[in-house]
Amino acid sequence: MFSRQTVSSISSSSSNFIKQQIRNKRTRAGLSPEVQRVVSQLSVLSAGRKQPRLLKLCNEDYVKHLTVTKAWSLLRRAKKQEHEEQLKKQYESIKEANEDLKSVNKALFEVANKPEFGRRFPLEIRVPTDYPTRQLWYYDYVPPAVETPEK
Amino acid sequence: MSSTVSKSIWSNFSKRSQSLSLKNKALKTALLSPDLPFGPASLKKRSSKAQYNSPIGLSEIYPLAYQILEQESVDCYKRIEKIESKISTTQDQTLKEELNDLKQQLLVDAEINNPEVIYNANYATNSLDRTQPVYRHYLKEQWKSYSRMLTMQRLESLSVIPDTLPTLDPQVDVQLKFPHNNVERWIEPGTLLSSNATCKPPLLEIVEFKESKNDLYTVLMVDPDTPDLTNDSFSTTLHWGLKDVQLSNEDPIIDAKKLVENPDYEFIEYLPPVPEKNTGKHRLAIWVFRQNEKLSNVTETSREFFDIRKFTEDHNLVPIGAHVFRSIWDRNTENVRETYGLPKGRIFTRERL
Repeated sequence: MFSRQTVSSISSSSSNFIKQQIRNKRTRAGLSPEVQRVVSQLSVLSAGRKQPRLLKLCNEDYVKHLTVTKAWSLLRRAKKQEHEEQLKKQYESIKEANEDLKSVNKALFEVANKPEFGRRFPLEIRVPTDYPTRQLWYYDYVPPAVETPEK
Repeated sequence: MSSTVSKSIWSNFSKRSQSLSLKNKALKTALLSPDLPFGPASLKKRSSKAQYNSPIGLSEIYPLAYQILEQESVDCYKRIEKIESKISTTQDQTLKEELNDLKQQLLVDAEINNPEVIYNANYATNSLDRTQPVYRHYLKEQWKSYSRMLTMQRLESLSVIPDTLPTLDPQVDVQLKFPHNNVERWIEPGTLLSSNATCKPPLLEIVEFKESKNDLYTVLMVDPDTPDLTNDSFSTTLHWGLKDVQLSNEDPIIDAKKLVENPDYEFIEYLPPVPEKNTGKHRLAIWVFRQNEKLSNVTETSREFFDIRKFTEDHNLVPIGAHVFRSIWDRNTENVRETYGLPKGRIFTRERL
């Protein structure tokens, strides 16, 4: 635990060595003493004690729990299925519209389906973020003055 | 007391079997109420009852969940009614079978999420009504998760497969116990049993997971480790042969009473395993077959040099389940031989005399 330093002090005669051990405070890079304390406390505990307690349910409540989980999974499945069906319909209608366009005007169809290399999203799109901005609206916004060249 | 959460099909027993509900009234009240009005009925100790608290929010969400699942069940029963009407009108036999399979599946789906059924399937496994497709489904899942794997492992590691029959695709759960004392104990496959334990015919239970009404079964018990000195090898002995045994979902047991009532079931009477000294552990394999029709031409009269593969081929039998236990010479073997009027067993030595 503690680093030991051997200090050899030379007494009056050079032939006589006294070995003395000095205990210093342990130094370890990166861990402050508080953190170290928590780490050593946790290392004493077994793995099972560090996990959250298992919920002990009586048989009736366990069956109720199973029922609730099942119903929730059914609801989610239904919702997902609905969403997938909607996407499928959207895709089908896009396809149909394109086929129509192809039969009516081939040039327009080709323009509409022209591949644009290096451009994955339209430039006008807002950059998608997980949350809205902290400042939703700039109330004090003043548009920059446009200098009109005088004639 | 709070009201019941069930408002539709799951509390209506006019068409559904009474076995789909819980028998215990206290448990039923607990399961059909949003909360536990009289405390947890399944906990026995008074102290644990007093300590117990239900999870927060369960009483609010449970009735909603119950209604959703009950509605699913109502839809299922509507589909079943349609299929039933279709079955009654069609003449095509294959279509009829297909529709029947679909109906069985729907009957499982209609009840599989019923909390009372789940409770029975989880905590009352010994007294499940096997005529109900949903309980058979739960039993099958349970069997597949452990017993089937264990049986196959024992059959393969003891080389019962392929020493007796080439392979097995298990469809039924074969359970076995011996009535030698009053201990109710099902034998685990591969167990070494004493000659005292095996001196009377065992009680067999053949658990079918499909709908079964008066199906016929053949049961063979063979010992593939009988020493065959002339060929310097081993031969198979037939220890027990049963044919045309009629079983169903309600009555899956072959016991002494049934054998006494129906003497034509046994075509070879039970011979207990009596291994001779120093012949090692004998495997006793029990094979179960489902018959397509009655076996009329069974002519086996001798037990020795029984060819089980030829027998199954002759009678067009496909194995659907198996069990195995082992037996070895012990101090009681000679007594068993005496009671069955068998000659004294030989003693084998390292040097053949």
